Amino acid sequence: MKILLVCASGMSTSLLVTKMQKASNDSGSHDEIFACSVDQLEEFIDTCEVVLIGPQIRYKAKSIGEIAAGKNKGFAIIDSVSYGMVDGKKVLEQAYELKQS
Amino acid sequence: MEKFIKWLEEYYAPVATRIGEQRHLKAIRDGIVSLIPLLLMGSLFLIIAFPPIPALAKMVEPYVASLCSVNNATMGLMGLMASFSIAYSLANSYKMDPLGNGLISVATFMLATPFTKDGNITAGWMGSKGLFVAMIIAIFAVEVQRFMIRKNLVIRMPEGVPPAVARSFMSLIPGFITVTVVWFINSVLSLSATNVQDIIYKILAAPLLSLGGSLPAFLLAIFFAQLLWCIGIHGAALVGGVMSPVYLTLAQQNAAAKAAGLPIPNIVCQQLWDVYGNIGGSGATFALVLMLIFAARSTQLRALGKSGIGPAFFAINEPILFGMPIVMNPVLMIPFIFAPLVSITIAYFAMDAGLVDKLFAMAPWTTPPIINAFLDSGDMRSAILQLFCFGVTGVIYYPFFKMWDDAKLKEETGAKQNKKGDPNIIIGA
Repeated sequence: MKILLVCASGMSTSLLVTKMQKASNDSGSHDEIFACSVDQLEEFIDTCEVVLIGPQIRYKAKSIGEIAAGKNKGFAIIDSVSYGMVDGKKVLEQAYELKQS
Repeated sequence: MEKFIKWLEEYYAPVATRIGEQRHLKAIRDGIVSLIPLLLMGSLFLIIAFPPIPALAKMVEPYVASLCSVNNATMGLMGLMASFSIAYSLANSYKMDPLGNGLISVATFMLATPFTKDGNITAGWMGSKGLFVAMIIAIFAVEVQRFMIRKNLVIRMPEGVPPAVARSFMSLIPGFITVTVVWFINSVLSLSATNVQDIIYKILAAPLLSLGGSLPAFLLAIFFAQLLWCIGIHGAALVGGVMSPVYLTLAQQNAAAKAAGLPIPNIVCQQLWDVYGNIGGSGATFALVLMLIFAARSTQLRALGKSGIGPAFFAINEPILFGMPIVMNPVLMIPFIFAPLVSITIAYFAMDAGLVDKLFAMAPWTTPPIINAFLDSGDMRSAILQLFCFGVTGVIYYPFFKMWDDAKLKEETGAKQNKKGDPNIIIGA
């Protein structure tokens, strides 16, 4: 699965990318995970299946959610505790749940 | 305190968000953010032209003018470039032709800027001095076109005409009007030997800059940004978005003064926040991260410190903000708000008193501390001042850190005792 993480400038989510990629590789599912800044969203959204945003830009959740819904992509705000602990596994689970729903 | 957080969530956050999301402000922010790589390039050459080491400075002295030309072509043309990029962003947000609008905006910006008698361009108006005119003209150009498209006052090509061609026809009448209006205004103004740039600068830009560049206004802006972070919203991105035209203009004035060999005018500028307010990220949390590693007795907090130290060098601290957490945490909100305010106030007065040099160059915001202080000012004493400020933020954080660590420790040992006392109770990880 291709997962796109979005935050203000794509910096702190890129920490999470590494952890999620590791969790994904360890479980053998080899998802493709990448991060971008919120300004680049429209550029990259077509390449992914699920969009997850950092809790610090949840004020943009509505507009990003609309874009994602328009393109039929799963969308969620990353749980802030998992985000803070940079818990790749939990966030990956969150992404999988989105795909199913 | 709980009530206060609730109030922030319910009333403050929506208002701040709405301001930050306002279409024109957002276009201005996005347009200016897209210029930042250019500003960094210009800054880099400025640092090379004025290296902090005297021996090196002597060596590059013959090339100073040549090195500064890079700064002139990037940072020095900030206004001109912004007239394009802001119109581009705004048109994009309306799903209109961004390129065409950007170009019309540039042409109109040039029109608002008086050519000299022998047909030259006044470079002074192309930089930060022209930034506010660029903002106004970009918005004006795009809004005229949008209005006319809505009223169907544009030339529409029949189907089958290539879209690029159709678009250029569509912008023909609106562009014509935009240009004519500004030409007319400028022609009238030229009768009294003035121009659009001059008037906007005097009535809008200069007062805004002197107000926005004052210490109280700067501290207030940072206070609002920190407050937003307290409820988990990227405050620096929102507040910086509204204030960046002011701070970047002040920064460019400093760069231009340095390049011209004049004394640096402004203490408040974008870098003051980056260098002295964001040591280790928003809230100057670097000292806090070190305490987590070396002084925390709670295992969870120590683990958090270890995972947070790496990013902290690059001013990234979301793990700490959400992991400790500082967000929604009435105890830690207090030092989180006051540490950067105190640090910046100290730095301000140190510069005001001439103890350290003012900031003229601009390293990327992810540049590690000490290095950024040194690069942005070319003065080793700035690094020492930053270290001092770092110590002060540590003192501010310490009692609150202690309180939180004790609470966490109690939680952890309590959990362990429970485990021992009753093996049937399962404790979540």
